[in-house]
Amino acid sequence: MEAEVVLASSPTDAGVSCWDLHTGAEHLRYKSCASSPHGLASVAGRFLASSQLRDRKSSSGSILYWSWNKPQVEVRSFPAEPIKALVSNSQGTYIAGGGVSGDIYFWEVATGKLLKKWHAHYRAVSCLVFNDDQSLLISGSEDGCVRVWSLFLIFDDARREEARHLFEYSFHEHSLRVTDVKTGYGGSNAIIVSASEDRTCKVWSLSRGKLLRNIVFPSIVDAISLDPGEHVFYAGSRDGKIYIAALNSPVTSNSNYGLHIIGSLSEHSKAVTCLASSADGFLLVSGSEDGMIRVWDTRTRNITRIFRHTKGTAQGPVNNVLVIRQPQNLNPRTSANSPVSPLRRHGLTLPPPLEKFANSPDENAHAKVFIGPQTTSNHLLDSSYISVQTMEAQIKELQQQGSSAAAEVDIERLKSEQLRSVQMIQQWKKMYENLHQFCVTELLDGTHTESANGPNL
Amino acid sequence: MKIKRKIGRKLPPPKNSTNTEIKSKAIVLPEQSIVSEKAGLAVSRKGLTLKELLQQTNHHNAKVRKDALLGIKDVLVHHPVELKLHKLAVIEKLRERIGDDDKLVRETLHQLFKAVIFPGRGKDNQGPLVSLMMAYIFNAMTHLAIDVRLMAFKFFDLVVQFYPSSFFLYAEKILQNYEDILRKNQFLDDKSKLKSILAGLIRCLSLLPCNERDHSAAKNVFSGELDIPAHDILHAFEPEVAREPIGLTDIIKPLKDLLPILVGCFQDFMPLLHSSSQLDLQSYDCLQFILQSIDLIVRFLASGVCRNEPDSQILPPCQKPGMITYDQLISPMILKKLWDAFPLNLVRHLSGKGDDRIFMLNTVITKIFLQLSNWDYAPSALLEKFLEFIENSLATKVQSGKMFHEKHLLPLIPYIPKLATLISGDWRSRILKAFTEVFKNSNPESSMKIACLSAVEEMLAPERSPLYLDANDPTLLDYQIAWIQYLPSLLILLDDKSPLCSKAVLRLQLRVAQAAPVNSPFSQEFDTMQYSFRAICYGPFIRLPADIQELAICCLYYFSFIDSLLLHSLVSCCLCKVLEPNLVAHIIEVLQSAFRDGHIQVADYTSFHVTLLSRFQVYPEKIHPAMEYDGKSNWRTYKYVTSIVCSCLSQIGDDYLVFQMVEKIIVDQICGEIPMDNKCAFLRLLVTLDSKPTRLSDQSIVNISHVLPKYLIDVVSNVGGDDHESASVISVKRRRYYLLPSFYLFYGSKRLLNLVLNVMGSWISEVISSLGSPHLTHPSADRSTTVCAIGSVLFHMYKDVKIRQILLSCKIETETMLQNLLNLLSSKGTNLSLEERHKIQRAYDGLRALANNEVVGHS
Repeated sequence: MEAEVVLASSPTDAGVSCWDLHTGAEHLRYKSCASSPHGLASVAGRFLASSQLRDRKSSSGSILYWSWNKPQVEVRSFPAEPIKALVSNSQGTYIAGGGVSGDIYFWEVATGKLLKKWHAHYRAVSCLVFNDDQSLLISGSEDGCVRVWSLFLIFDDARREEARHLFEYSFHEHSLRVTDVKTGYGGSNAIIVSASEDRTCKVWSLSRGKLLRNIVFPSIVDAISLDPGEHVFYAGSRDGKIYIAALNSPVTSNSNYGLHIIGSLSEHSKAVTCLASSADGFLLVSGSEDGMIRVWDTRTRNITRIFRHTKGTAQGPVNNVLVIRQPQNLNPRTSANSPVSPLRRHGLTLPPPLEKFANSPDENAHAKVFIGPQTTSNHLLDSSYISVQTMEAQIKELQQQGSSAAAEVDIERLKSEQLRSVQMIQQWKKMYENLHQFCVTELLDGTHTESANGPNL
Repeated sequence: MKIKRKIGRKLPPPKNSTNTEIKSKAIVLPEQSIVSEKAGLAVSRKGLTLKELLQQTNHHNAKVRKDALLGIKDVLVHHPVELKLHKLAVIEKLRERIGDDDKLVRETLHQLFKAVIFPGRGKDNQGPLVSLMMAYIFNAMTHLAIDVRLMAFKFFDLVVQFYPSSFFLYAEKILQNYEDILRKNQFLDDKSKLKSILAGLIRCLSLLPCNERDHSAAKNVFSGELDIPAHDILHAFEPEVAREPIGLTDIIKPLKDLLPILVGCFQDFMPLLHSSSQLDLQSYDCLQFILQSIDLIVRFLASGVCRNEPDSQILPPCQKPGMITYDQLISPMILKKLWDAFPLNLVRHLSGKGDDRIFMLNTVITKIFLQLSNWDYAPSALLEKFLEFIENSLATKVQSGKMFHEKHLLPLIPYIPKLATLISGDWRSRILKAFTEVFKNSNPESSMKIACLSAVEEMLAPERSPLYLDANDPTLLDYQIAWIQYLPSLLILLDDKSPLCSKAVLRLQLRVAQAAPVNSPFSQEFDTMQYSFRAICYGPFIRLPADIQELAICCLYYFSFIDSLLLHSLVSCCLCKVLEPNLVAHIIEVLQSAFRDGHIQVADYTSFHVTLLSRFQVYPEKIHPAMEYDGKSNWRTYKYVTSIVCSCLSQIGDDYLVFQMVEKIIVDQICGEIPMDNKCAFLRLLVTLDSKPTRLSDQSIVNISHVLPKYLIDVVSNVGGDDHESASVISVKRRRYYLLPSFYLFYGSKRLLNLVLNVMGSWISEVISSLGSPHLTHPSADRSTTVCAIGSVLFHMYKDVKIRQILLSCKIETETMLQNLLNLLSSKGTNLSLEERHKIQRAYDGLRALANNEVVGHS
């Protein structure tokens, strides 16, 4: 089993705590993080990013980066407005953030460039999620709307102008704030599940763009987690229970919670605020208002482990939990104090901060050269970024530099040609010789016959 | 002697044999021969079986045929089984009569099919039946005699009536037949015939699928329900619906051919209209039917349903084909004659009735016009003609308020949004003005109101129209704001009279709220709505059904601020006994969300909760286990609400600050004169917010210590009773519920316990002193119960492990109290009755035992 770690953060300034999911060992705690709900993201396992809760008055937002082996914040970005939801695609090339005004910001991680910003909702964006093939971005908002955005359309200027609206779908059926959205597997044919403060969870079809199922819960659901097999989904609610709702079974309404709800996990905790599940789906991690992170075995429906996010008596609520594969250079707490080897430090430069404004389109498209971070992941994808300029230069060089390689090929060709010519010459020579021989013998014979005939005439 | 025998010959009978044959005369029994043959068979009144009757239907005499049909009807009515068994045979025989020469026979047959045969059949296979009929119907449709042809159409009408899907199987041919019969201009004299043909045609045409936009838009708003297949498995394949292959593309041509003929029919009536002053009912009906048919055809052709698009599911969502106009199917010339005739007018209008009829026809023509999607390219004179009619009719509607007008204007309302989008300038504001008048003045419970609401929603809804919040168009914005402003008063006006309409209004409100950007004029308008609801109980909220209440609660979240008056009215809603506890919880949840987003001030928010707790009425006062289940007790709700309020207030922010803020309010409430249940709720709230050791100020502790003994005594004497053995589990639990919060306070503050013990001790000594005094200040019963109750309180305290440990440290107080009790018992000259004495003695013994036990256990 691959090692997985649990990350948890809270709206109070209690940092990001980190544990091994299977052994329970605590790792480094990343300092000074007051994350917004759905505002904690691991950027392809390379580093940690989180959008910060800000004062109501502050006009700009804040997004912080931590590298795995240092507790201090390494990079600070200040977007134009407070960012609520933050998500990165699985390759870690882009970060999308949802602002309080309802705008969605789309940054390139490697350069920090704001590639796109568009007005997505009437009110603040409360959650963002990529679908499994990373082509669709799904956003939920405080206006109760769930919208599906195709990145192809967002970046296709020509088609965007034709289209009446940017989104692929806009689902209006929730009457209150959307609290969480999750997608299933299957690219653009997947299902998505959304939870809202109107006490319902709704299941939508991405292919047909319509509501498939509406499940009413006894209390507000703040977090959902889909089972990898999509048989059930887990809904963490404000009454402290985690309800299990069936997705794929026919209706069995003999449960006392309501239609489609087949059971619950509960430990009399305060409101459940966030859920995450391990890659195999057997472990479910829930964060609660009471500052505890509980790990449940979904087969036995029992708690297997409890982590405490905050220290001492203060009971800061948890509002984000993540379960990710253990990053390579994550040190257990014991070795955290040991000096980081300069070599490793060198390999871990974080990308530059995210830009506040989009560049004007007339700006030179390849103005920035950036050599991407060397990912220290064991199966290193060849993901070093090369600027267009470099690439163009290389191509030009290749074209001009046709020299050595091309010459070799030429020589090769000439050699074979010569060989052929030599053979040809020899052939011709042989033919000539034969002819010569023939002529000579003919001549000799002719003279001979002539001489022989002569006397006959 | 040798007997010669011949082969084949019989021996003569012996002479001595006895003749055993019995001879008798034939016996004639008085019995009806026909019945005897048909024993067990179903017969008609005339004693004929079905088979005989069917044979008679071929009889050359028309009267016999008719009688046979009547007989069949008789048999089938009285013996429904016969129909089940032989239906195909019966129909096979009867269909031959469809083209019968005799009118009466045909009529009777029609009656027979209509009344008996078609209704009598179940949902079984209808294919063979219809196909059996159709061959003969088609035959009759081309019959020479016009009457037969008319009847054939009637028969087909009947078939469609009972088996609507059969129309599509024969649509092309049927439409051609209609075309043929309508082409010959022969019905001007006999309008009833034309009417019957057209009625059948309309029935067929209304089966044509139309664009869902016009209809579902309205439907969605008002049902609010989405067609969710609740019983499906999500990841399963879709059920294979046996869909009839509807060759819609094949119908287009006959429909297009039919259109000019219908227009022609319409024109035939024009001279009549111009010549006579009065439009008789028959021709009016005919005209109406003609126009309706045209309307249906245009609707179908313009909707574009007929074009079979490639299955859009396969395409990625972004590539779905957009709206393409299909109007090319209808050439403008065909309908031009119709436009020319518009508006219809009587030469001399004398009666109001005639006017109404003409008005109706005009609305239908207008609707046809509006259905075309390219009408905005129509010549402006024509367009203006229609616009003027719409404006006038909307305006007259307001003036007259006649139901008649309202009913017929209804179909035009859904086109208002389209008009508002596409036309420009002066006309737009004129139409919008007229529409607004209708919207405001129509009867609140009428379908007109609902149609208007749907149109308003379309004009306010962000996705549907590009004209949403067009800042460049101040006129529209004015109207939009006027509509929004009208909504609250409409809601109050509606009260609980029309839930459907109320729901529509609330959905519209919610939509507006969701889509209004912060600080836009819309959101400001929405915020001002709350002033209308400040009246008691959030408008007519309490009387509406639960789903509408839910919508109303959702609207609360979108107010950018909620002032104390509205909160006040919400509290009174929550306190209403009829409101479901579920919805109370929902209100609190929504307010919590609103508070988190900064829509409510902290002081208002806390006072909402405090008021809720202090005013909550727990009933019935007398708690009885049986009451729990008859639905009358709201104790469970009380518990539920208390826990929600506690969790809400504890989530306001930093514990310490919150506690400081609300400490005084809560302590004041506890010290005030409120029922025990509410006191308990506040104690629970205090405990939830407090920590160990207590953060209560000294003053508060002193204040609480004055009321807490009384509370404890109330609890032990009211809940569960003294009889520990007989007390049911429920009441023990309930007592625990009441006692626990005060115990928690004791855990946090030893001083509080000290003070409480002191107060109780002083009460006992008071009792003693009162006993000593000659004039009795307390009635004796009260004395003993107080003393016993104190004993019981101490008893419960001792049972709690943690309290017991604290009590140990307050030995002085406990000892004095025990001593006091002992004094009381031993004091001379007391007028304690024997019973009282016994009770007190028992309490004393019990406590003494407990206290000693403790000492022993710990020493």
